[in-house]
Amino acid sequence: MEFAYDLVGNSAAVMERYQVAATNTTIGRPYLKTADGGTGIVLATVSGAVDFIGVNVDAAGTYVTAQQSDNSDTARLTSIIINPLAVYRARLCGGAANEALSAASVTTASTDGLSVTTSAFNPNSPDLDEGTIWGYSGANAGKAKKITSTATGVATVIVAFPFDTAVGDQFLYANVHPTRSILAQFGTDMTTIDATATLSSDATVITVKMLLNDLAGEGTTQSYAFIQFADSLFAGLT
Amino acid sequence: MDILIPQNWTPKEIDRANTKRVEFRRNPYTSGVANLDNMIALDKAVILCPAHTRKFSPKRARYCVHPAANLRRVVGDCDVCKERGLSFLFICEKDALEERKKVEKFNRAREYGFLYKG
Repeated sequence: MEFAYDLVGNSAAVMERYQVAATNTTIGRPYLKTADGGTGIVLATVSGAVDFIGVNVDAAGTYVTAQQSDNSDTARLTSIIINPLAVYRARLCGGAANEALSAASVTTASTDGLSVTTSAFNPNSPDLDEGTIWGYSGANAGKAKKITSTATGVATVIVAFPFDTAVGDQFLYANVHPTRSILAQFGTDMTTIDATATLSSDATVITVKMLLNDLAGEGTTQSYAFIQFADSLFAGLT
Repeated sequence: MDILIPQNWTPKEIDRANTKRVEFRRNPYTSGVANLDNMIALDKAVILCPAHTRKFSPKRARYCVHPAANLRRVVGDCDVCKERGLSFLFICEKDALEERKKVEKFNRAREYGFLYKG
């Protein structure tokens, strides 16, 4: 994920360098506070962002603990953006390994725009209720709505899509929705959001807004969520 | 061997001895420039205040400013003088290549995409 902006306004990214507790060569990973008895800041887990510190902009190198034969410094530091109100953009992925989102095709038309029926795709397994559904192709391409309930092969919305859905129209789904605070499920490299996982109600990550694309904009690989880490340590809340 | 310690030093001799003593004083800190060299050798992100940015040659160090416009100026401690303030962020070319890809990918997504706020 990358630094997008700060909710304070025109504030620049504030950076500090910290000793790490593990080797990391990936840029854009969230870090958490140093644990009791730990050696440094630790990498967030795919579903854990409690006591968030910030996101790194350089690699931490190979973590060492033992004294070096050439007496070189054992410190392994990484540069972290620590703005407590920073908003980061994270790409929405169709799996833990940063796969593309999968577009589901409508199999039964809807004449009221209140449901999307896709027999080959089950939005309730994993359950994407309270997430977002948007048109990938067809008349509703580029229109997004909040999913308010799911069933086998059906996603229901309360605020209707502007057009009827026709058989063959394609839709994309994500498990996050703006202003919902959830426990986000990150990809295994921690730089993306796995948009296909069922989320718990933990409130460590808030979705501020989303940048969604349809077929013309290659939405399966170019859709983003803007997220804020609500449990930032430097916000002074914990 | 006898070590002769003069008991009646003149002020000039005391100054000279103090000057010599400073050379042997332990310095626990790496100098700013040496610290910068270490950072560059490790391919770490480098933060430089405006004064030291003018003296820094990114091309020679195989560094460049961060490709993301909102990360070119950051608030941080200068890696040379430790002065804190609005500074410039440089990253090594290897990292910059990857970051540039991310920025360009997002710019393309932004060009065609629509913002959704519920």
